[in-house]
Amino acid sequence: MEAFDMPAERQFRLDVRAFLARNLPADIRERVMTGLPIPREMSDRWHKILLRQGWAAPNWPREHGGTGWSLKQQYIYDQERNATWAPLGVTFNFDMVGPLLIKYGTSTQKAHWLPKVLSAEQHWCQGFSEPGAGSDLAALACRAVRQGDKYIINGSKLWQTAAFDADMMFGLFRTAQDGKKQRGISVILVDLRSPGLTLSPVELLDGIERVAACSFVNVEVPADHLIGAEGEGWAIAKYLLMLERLGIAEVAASRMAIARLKRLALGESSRGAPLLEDPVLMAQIAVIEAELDALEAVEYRFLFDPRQNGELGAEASILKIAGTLIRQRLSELTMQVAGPRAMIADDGVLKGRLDDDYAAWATRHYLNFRKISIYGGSNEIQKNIVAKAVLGL
Amino acid sequence: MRNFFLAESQLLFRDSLARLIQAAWTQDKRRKVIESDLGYCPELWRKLADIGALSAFLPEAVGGMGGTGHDLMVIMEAIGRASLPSPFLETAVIAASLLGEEGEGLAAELLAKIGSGEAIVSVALHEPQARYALSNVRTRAKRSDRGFILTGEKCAAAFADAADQIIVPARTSGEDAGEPGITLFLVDRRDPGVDFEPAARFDGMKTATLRLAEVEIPPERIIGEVDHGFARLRCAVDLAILAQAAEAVGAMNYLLGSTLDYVKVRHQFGAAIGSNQAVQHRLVDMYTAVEMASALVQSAFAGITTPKDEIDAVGLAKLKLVTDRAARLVAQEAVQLHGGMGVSAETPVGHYFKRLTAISQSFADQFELHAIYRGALRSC
Repeated sequence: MEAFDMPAERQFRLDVRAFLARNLPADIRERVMTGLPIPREMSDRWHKILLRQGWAAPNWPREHGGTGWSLKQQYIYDQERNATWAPLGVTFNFDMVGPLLIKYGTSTQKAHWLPKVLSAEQHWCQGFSEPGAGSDLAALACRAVRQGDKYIINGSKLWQTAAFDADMMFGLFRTAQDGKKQRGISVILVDLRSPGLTLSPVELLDGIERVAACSFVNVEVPADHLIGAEGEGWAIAKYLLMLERLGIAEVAASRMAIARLKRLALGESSRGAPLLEDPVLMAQIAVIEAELDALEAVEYRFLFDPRQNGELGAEASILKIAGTLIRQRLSELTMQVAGPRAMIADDGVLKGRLDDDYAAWATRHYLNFRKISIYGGSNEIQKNIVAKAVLGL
Repeated sequence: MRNFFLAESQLLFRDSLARLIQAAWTQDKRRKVIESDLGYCPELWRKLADIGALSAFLPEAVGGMGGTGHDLMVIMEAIGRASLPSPFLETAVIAASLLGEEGEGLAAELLAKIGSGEAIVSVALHEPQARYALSNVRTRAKRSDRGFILTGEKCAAAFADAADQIIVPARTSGEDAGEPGITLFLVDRRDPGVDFEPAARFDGMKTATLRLAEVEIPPERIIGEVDHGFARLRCAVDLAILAQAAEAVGAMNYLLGSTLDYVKVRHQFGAAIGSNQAVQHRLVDMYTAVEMASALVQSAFAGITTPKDEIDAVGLAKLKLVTDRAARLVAQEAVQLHGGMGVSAETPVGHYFKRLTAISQSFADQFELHAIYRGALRSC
């Protein structure tokens, strides 16, 4: 989509490209290439570099320490970031809790929390899903009861990504039981070190990533950790899930994955020729690449249509559906191209440096990526949303 | 720098075109036109000329409006949405592209007539043995004292029977399937030795087999340079592939809309069939396919400024892969969700199904497209 850059945007792209090329440490780049979760040390180191540049929060307004970039600039930055294998950054801080506070926080809350969110001295995680509330998020039951100037929380949360690297959680809790289940939900910020809060690891299919099962037993939280009005958390949650749809197509990441797949297939040989020349493989790559072209065009049309004012409607759900299907097919095909070598689950390989040989990571991605069509509202839920809100069914 | 989005004037043009077609076109008319010998509606053709649709994309030098790719896209989508049988693609896209480099003379005159709606021009792209290979040309053109003498057979020439002129690629030198040695000739339907055999297509479009028996063509009716016609031909057909993808988008949008309407009113088991999740999810898949195809086409047209612009071969192959797959998915699902109505030849959904199927079989199939992709991947 570079062809659609305005001259000033073109210059911006070149500046971003040059900055990333000069400043991204090699070890962080290699870690990103593996697709493994980024250790907190690396994340913080890269974050400091971005802070110095003033680029730590690409999607925040300037008054809160963000870049003040236009949506198009954010889009360009994200493309270039992916193309150089720079990390996404502390995504829950910048893509979720920051926008949450900026839109719904009081001025006191903003002044208290935003600097710490920006500096990333605190890492955040999300506390939405529960054992009984996945796709049906509004069925959540983890209870927060107001007592004087505190909330007392009891219940469970499940599947919290990056929780073991986090200090704080922004969560959805039930503060009232009456009426519609969407009512009586509140957004509350919780310190993960609070007494009574226990995190247990849940290992995902890849055997590497750990998400959390959280148990709350009489966890006390100051009442001023409530964001927005009590009982009005559902609208806030919907806002945050809408923000999540920006960039959810992950086109730039899939472009990199295709390039990596082709490199891998060039190195593998089958019957005396590079596997890349196999017509069956090429046909599959062609279709995925073609669909990615189309996905990129749809995303561009949704994001930048001058008649939409940059507002993403429910139709953006198709970006998630199509984007995750492409990423899953790519990871599957890559594992197949890696062949017998993709069977090895050698811990040493997985923990060690990344060589150019991608085979060792292929299976890990395949296993890990089963989650992407499930989290953030499963693809079936996304289809329900489109059917109702876009197609009027 | 390219602009992805349509200009305000293009949106207005799109609206007036839609109004014009809606006022003049019905399912009943389509059936009558398809059953007619001519195969298109001259009255509507006249209206398309009057509104500027035939000249929108032609160069200003020949009286056209010098529009951009998005103008052509708007027209093709409107044609697709109405499923209008017409020689627009052959006349205003392929022939216009083939003739487009000639600043004066016969070609310029013909272009002006295309724009004003006075001339229908067809193109004889196919030969029986060639499958989709444009360079597989066995029709011979022998030099003579007064120009060239053409002999051979062309098949499936769309609207050749209705055309005043037909552009015919013929071999002036080189091997049977080679790209060099192809020359483009302008054949008049009244030229001695020209014979047509009409062949109706399953989607209702008129085609003809064209037999040329020692047809004499004077030198002024050669388009471009002798022996060097292939590049121009490729370029014109590539534009046609893109244009037809836009037509498919229009037709898919129609089917998506009509299927949505149908599932909301068709009741079974006491409820609208559209209230079933299985049906809803299929419609979301259709919607997704249409959106992806349509955005990709819009993006590709943004790079087109004149009828003779070259289009990146691999990008176009991928685009046609996507739009053809979308066309088949949307058409098949529309029929499925219309149930018995969908399998009736009399209903619009049945007609659109056939039209989209024909489009996905035109100019290249998946085997050809994958071969183009493979060729490019190997060479890099």
